[in-house]
Amino acid sequence: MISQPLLSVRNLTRSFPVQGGFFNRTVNHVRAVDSISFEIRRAKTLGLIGESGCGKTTVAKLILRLIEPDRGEVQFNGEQVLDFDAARLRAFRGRIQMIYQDPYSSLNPRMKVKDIIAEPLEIHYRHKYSAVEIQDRVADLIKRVGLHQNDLSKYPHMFSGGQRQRIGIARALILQPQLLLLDEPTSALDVSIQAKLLKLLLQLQRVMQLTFLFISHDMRVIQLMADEVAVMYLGRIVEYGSVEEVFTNPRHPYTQALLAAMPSPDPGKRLDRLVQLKGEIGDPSNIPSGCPFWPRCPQKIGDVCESAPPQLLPVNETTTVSCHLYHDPTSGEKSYLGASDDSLAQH
Amino acid sequence: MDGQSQNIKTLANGESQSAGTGFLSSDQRDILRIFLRNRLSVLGLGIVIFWLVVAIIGPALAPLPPQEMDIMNRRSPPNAAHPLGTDWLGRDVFSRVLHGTPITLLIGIVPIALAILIGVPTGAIAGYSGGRVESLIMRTADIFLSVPALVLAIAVTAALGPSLLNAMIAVSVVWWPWYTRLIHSQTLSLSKRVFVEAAIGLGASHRSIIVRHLLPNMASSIFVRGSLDLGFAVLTMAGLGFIGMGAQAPSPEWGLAVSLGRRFMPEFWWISVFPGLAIFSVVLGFNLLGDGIRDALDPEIRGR
Amino acid sequence: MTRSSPLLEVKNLHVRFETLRGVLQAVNGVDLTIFPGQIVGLIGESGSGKSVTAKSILNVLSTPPGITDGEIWYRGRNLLELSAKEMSRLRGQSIAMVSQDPMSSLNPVFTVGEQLRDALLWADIVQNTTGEPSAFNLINRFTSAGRRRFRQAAAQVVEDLRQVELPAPHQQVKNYPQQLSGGMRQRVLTAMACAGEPDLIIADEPTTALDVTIQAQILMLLRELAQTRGVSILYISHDLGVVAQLCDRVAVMYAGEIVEEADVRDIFENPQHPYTEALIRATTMASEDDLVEIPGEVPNMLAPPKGCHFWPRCPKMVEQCANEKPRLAPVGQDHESKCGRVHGEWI
Repeated sequence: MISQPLLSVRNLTRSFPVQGGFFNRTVNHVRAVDSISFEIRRAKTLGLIGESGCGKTTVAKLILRLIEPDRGEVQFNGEQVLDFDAARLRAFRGRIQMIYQDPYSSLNPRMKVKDIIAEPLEIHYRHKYSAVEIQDRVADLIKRVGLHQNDLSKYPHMFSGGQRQRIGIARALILQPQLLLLDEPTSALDVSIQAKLLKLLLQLQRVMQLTFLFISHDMRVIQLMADEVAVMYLGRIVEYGSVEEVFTNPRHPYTQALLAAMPSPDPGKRLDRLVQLKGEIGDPSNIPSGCPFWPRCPQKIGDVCESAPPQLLPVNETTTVSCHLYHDPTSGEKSYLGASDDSLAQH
Repeated sequence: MDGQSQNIKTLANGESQSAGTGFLSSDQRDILRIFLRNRLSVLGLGIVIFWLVVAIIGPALAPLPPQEMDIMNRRSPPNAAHPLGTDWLGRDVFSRVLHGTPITLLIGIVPIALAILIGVPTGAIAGYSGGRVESLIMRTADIFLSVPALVLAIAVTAALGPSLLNAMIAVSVVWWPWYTRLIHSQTLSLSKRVFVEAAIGLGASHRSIIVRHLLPNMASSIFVRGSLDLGFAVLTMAGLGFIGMGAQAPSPEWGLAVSLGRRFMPEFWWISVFPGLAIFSVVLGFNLLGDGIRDALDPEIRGR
Repeated sequence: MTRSSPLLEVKNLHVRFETLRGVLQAVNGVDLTIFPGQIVGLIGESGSGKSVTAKSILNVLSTPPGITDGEIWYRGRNLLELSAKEMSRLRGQSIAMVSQDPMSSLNPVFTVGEQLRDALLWADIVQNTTGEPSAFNLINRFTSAGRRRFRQAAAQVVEDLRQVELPAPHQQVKNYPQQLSGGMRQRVLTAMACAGEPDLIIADEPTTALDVTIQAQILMLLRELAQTRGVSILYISHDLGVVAQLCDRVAVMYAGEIVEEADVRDIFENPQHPYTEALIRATTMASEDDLVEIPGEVPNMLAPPKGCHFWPRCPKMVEQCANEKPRLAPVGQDHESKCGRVHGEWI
């Protein structure tokens, strides 16, 4: 029996008004996130991958309710996050933590490292712990993330980007959260520093039984970190499945293009590997009708791509794809062969 | 090479070599060290301390009472009997400067302190909350700014009745919108920084975000702006005094002395110039001090 | 492969910056050779000196002023001895640069068409005047020669933009840089770099800010330039994957020095320096074991370590490494490494 997922997101949608014209009227809407559904099981990692403007960061902010969704539901430990009142939302934000992309602006320059790391404790358990207890926990965490005790009384600017990210991780871990939302945590770092940080994250995940939502544009990082992966394009998930399946047997033309464009550090696999995807990433305020990917799609099958939006439907037990290539658009919902109703219901 | 790297390391750790300050925390020691390393800020501190001391003991040291007139020696240039000369009534300029110190410092500092007290919270609330509250506060500030400063101050003093206290209230009424605007814009730009969003994500309360994350990052701007405004406040108060609404005529207040002595320029320059120099040096002193405090409080500068 | 004479030869280049805290030796004895039509990758992490090396070739190290020593030979002339006027004739003419941030390289108040037209005009002026090229000619519409020149350049613009595969060039010429996407701006910049038909393009991380699918397009474009026009490219990057895809030859920089240089296949299949090896594994990230720990951080270049610059982080260091300086010596055909442990040559 499959255990209940730690986090499950259903039909999450959020659009932002675009203002313009003479009186700042709302002239248009950007569908930043459009009917996104996924779930993450305990101590596992879901990789959320996509290019700029695809809405992947918005997903993380919607889960934390830093931005309120228009529609959809978020379940954490079986509880409806969107129904939380202010007090429960605060408690919830203690159990789910975010790591940010920019190591330089995510730490308050006027606070010492020990105060930065201890801040979540101050916020959530004011006066519950003595100064000594807080100090002990901070000291324990700084060691776990690979920094030294005497770094505690320094200020953030004295650290390199990789070290600052470690401070951010220590801050995120002090409340012993169950879920970490990692928003491109290594994309601002050099490769050797990135490698060390990823290794640290994997170790922490094993030791502390952490669940990750790992957001990245880098296929290599996702392949290494994630158990399952969701590929986003213009606010929608176009392919969702286990890492092995998606990376070895990508089905959606966009996933295929992403994998092909990923520059492999193997000069033997050159030229033919750089399959080109035509055109620019679509404009989120002007999403094409039908399949959002059709203007760039090298495998467009016809008018149906331009008119009918494809559904995210299973193609086997572990993978769902949103593409007319795999589902006959005329025959309604369930089109692929061999799917039992159970596995359909799961997704 | 080893010595050099050792040196860099020490600097990077921000450790102070100075001994004998054991009662201060290492951080306070750092702040002090950076402050003392900058000669200009020490000079500023010296000037400010000098004028504070003068404000306390100056009146007692003055050779003559402020109102004593030497009718025979009106407008006499600096000489042995009157080191800074005498004014148009034969009063000793030197004594008047000493006697005017406490009142001048008071009317410089109090209105600005009041303006900061009003401006900082309103600006922070406006920038942080946004929406209608922001519009309300900022438009109110704009209305105050749209009236010429002196006219507004005159109106306020006239409404409250001419007295020194009311003049100070008037100046702070004129000044607070500048602080509101400064803090408002700083809050807006700081709120976009990720660490503020991170604090919200951690579940921090609005109060703690403003107090822990926003205000400490704005302290330096407030210091600098405040020290600059001190001089303007003294001059505005002088303007009010000039039209009979601030410090009144026999008072030895510096701004008043400058504006009343103006009509004797340039032949009898000492009547205006010496009180003017006194204002200048107070403003300069506070300015240098403000700069020094700003640098010492900034961990990025301190760590260098 | 037979080789003609080199196009660019950098010999024993040193660049240092005098800072408040001492002398910073950013580039320390770099040798680099580029042949016509060759794409050379200069790879390294932040602070390795790769960008400084590139900028000193163009002599654009103005802020802060770097102090340069050594020789940079280009077509029989030492670039470091050229006057400012001679150098500016060369820049954008024989040697052009494409930078990481296309937005700040383009002027926001002129359309991209105007900017490319002016680049073409200037190239024409420089080529066809013997004396000092006068900026007056840029605005000269008063003589028939000036008008003819202007018409020619204007007519050339759309064609050039089509050559860099800018979509819908007729419409794009009327747009301002901020109306274009990052990838399109990079294409415009590449077209401007090609205006003077240079034989060397220095590309400083031109794809770092771009998404992978767009990056693939720009890489293909650069490769085509090298193949069809015989342009040499010095490609600066921190991404080994990109370099593996694009370059013929690769030089790896660490802490101001080249630590390994070889043909692209050779260096990836048979790295002869521990740093290169670690970088390749950290980029491949096939499994967690590939996240090789390079302990510590890049050395402080105000006080670099004695001996080999890499020894404090090297997993394979021996005692000699900390005391003696290794030489950049051959370890195979056209393959040089600076690891004293590999070839046993020390200074």
